[in-house]
Amino acid sequence: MKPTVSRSHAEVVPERGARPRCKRGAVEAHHEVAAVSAGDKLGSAAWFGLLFVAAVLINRLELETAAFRNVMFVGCAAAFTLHFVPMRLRMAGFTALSLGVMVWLLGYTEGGWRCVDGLSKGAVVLGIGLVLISICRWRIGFWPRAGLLMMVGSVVGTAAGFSVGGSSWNGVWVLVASIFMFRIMVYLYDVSTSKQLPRISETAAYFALLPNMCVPLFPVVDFRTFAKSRSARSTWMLYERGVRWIVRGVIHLVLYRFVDRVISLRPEDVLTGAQVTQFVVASMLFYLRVSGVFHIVIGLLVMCGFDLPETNRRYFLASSFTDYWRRVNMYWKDFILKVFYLPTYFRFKHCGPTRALVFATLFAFLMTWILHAYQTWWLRGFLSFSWPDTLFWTVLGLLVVGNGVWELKRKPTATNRQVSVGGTVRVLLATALTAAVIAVLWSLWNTTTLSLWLTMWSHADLSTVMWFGGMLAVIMVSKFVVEVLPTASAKTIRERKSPKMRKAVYLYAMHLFVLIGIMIVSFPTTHERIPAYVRPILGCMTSASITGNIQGYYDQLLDGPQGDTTSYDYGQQDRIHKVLRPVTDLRQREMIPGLDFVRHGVRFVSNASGMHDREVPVAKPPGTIRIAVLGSSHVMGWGVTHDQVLSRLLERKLNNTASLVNRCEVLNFAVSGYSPLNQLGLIEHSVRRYSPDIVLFVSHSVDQEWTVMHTQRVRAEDTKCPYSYIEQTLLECDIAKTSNEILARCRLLPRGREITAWAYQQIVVECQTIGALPVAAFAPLPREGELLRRLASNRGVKDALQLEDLMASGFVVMDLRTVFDGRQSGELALRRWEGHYSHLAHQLVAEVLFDQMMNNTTVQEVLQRPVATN
Amino acid sequence: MKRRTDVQASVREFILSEFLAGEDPSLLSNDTALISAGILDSIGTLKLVAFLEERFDISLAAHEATAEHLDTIARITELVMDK
Repeated sequence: MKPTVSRSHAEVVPERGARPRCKRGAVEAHHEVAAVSAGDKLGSAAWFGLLFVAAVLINRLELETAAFRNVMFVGCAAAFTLHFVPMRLRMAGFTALSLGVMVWLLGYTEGGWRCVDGLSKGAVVLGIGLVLISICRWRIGFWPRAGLLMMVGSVVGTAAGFSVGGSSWNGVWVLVASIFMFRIMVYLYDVSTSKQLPRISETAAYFALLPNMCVPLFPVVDFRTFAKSRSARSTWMLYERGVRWIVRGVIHLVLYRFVDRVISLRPEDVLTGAQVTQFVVASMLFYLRVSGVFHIVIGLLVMCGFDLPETNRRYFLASSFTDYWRRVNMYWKDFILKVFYLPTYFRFKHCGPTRALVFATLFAFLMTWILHAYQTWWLRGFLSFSWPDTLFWTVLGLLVVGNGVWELKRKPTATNRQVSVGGTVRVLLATALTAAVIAVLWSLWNTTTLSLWLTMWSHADLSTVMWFGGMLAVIMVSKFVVEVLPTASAKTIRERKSPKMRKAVYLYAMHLFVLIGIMIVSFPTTHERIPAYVRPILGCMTSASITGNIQGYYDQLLDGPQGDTTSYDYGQQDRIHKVLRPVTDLRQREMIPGLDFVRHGVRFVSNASGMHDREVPVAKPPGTIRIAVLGSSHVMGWGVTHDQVLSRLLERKLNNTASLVNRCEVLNFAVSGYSPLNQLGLIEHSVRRYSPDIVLFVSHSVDQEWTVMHTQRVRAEDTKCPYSYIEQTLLECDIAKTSNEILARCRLLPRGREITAWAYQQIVVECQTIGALPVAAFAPLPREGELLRRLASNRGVKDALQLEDLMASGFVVMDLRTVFDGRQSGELALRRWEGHYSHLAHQLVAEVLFDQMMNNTTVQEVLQRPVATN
Repeated sequence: MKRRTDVQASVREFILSEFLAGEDPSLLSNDTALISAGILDSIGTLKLVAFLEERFDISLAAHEATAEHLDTIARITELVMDK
């Protein structure tokens, strides 16, 4: 398929210094400039507004790493600032901002942010960069320069390999690699083939690309394209493109979450023919994450005034293998084409075009294969060559060679041939065939061993073909609607020449609609207004957790360097997992004893029994009333110290009360992510040994969703569950071990309230068995502020129902629903984008809880009862 | 001695016949983007290079087979005239 002639590019991007096409009077020209200027200001402001909405959404959805999200905000501010910077200073301004962000990110250490660390690490990155760039600019032969670059690379590689500077320097080596591993090759090539040395300002800006400071897997931006991309027209048209790509990136990342949580499954879990197709399709769709990130980072650079080309373009709709190669990661294709393919082709040109093309394509794919391993080594610290990897690049390379030879020998045909029925059918079938082969190849690349891949395919049957046919039908319909139809009617559209402003307003409204739509969906209160069976699907698209079912090549790289938990904050998810470890009983996870680390400047210490608390003897001291506090991460005190957590604050208040004759000990048994179901396991495993007099269970509005999630996990993880009710429920809901996590939850959710109420009753029974008074405190979460409550009026009804269930179960209930009234959710949450209780929230909950306990006669009876003092 | 107008006409004719058969020739101007707009892909670019070398008896280098030199008829003409 050939595109039709388009004049749009020539019209929108005039050559620098080009003269106007037609002569106009001076007055007329002046009026036009003034009108464009006023409209442009308004348009630019509008698109910048949308950019900030996109940045807020990226934070709201917790897309990618924390550093990525923060840099999005900084990038927005930088882009806005650069809009007002005179053109001659923009490169320098951009470089300064990027270097500032680099120092800021590198300054994060285990002990919080330290300027000295940021500056010293930044100086090392800068020093290495200066050496590499100086070598490239040295007026000696190409190969001596290449040799010197390899030598410096080996030294830096050795430093990275031996972790020079310790684990906190991992981020530095990864950053150096991410910036220079490919771009220095491009730069050397361009310097060597240029008559003049590139400007220093362009060189500095090229290597100091702002979003690269937080994204290790970065598109290989071409130096010449970048140097020429400094747009002389920072108009709304440029910003429109930047925002369009960022919004597209957000959509890709949200869809990636859907694929990860709903469609993906591990290759070893494939047991049926339909699951074969499921795995294959998910493997292909996993690239959405890369294209999403690339769209966002390049969109951000465009917003900073760099008129860069697109990174990926409708790659699922490619109609041949060469077409796929050109559409997917276009920056990589251009890099390989420029540095390896064309030089090889020209070297073998004397052998004839066909042979030269075959040699050049094979060499390009060989280098692609080697450079992917090289990239893994720099970013992850190990070389990865495997049979699936080798086969993937070999087969794809051979297909592209065959396709390329065919294209080279093909006779010219009319570009509008696809308008005919025969042409359309051919294009659609070619698209389906390409998608099918590419999907199969992706499934190969995303499987760790060839035998596992073959075992997975041994389950293929007729249903595999049928589901695959369905997927291909979707692709063909998309191709027809998105590409074939518009091409057929392109001429008509061009002749109509709709006003640009109208189109811009339409585009703006569409993007605003998409952003606001995703934003609304991301609020938990929205989920409560939609049918239960789709709630988990929406929930998974707006939740940051990833299954890790498919660990493809790019996923490993985007997840960041192993062991680095500071400058990039890449290890945040790992760290959360490292706090807990899986267990086979009903707790499902337990806190690892003896933890001691600093996160976001706050020390997190767990005791020898795996509690976020001081060391506590199992035997109850004489003259002491023990209260065991059960809850989730909010109650556990994620992000606050032992002294700031509500259990300690409550203990202090109780012991400072003169009217109490006994000493009170409030123990923090709360664990991150625990649902009422896990609390049952916890009582059985730990709490009972400490002989509490009161078990204080802090309940939240998320109890139902979490209980459903953990009920499904009982089957998925073969949890040892002594309760026949859970087993019966899983059977009734047809939940098997291999059931898709999200779909299983969809089936369980209609019974969520029933299961949760049962868990409450069992907690009460267990408490009574160990002789403790069961007390439940229903407390809101910081994000459920007054405004959201008003917006979602049924939240109050649901809370009331949950309170009813707690009371009906036999708990002594403390109603804390109004504890945060009059407070802003911002001051109650740990951070703006992290919803855990702040110190203030802990204080407020502890105070109200204390008051209600003191006014409750049943609790008072326990607190005041005589206990042995020796 | 090559004449600029002849080079332009030859290149234009080649592009229209090889890559834009059936299109309205009046839409192809000297400033129409060829590579960046997708009219010329990598293999199309190689075909164009082969044509230029044969038609004008010149030799192009690998780094000249890029959008910087071949993106528009005007740039292609400039490249050929410089040889």
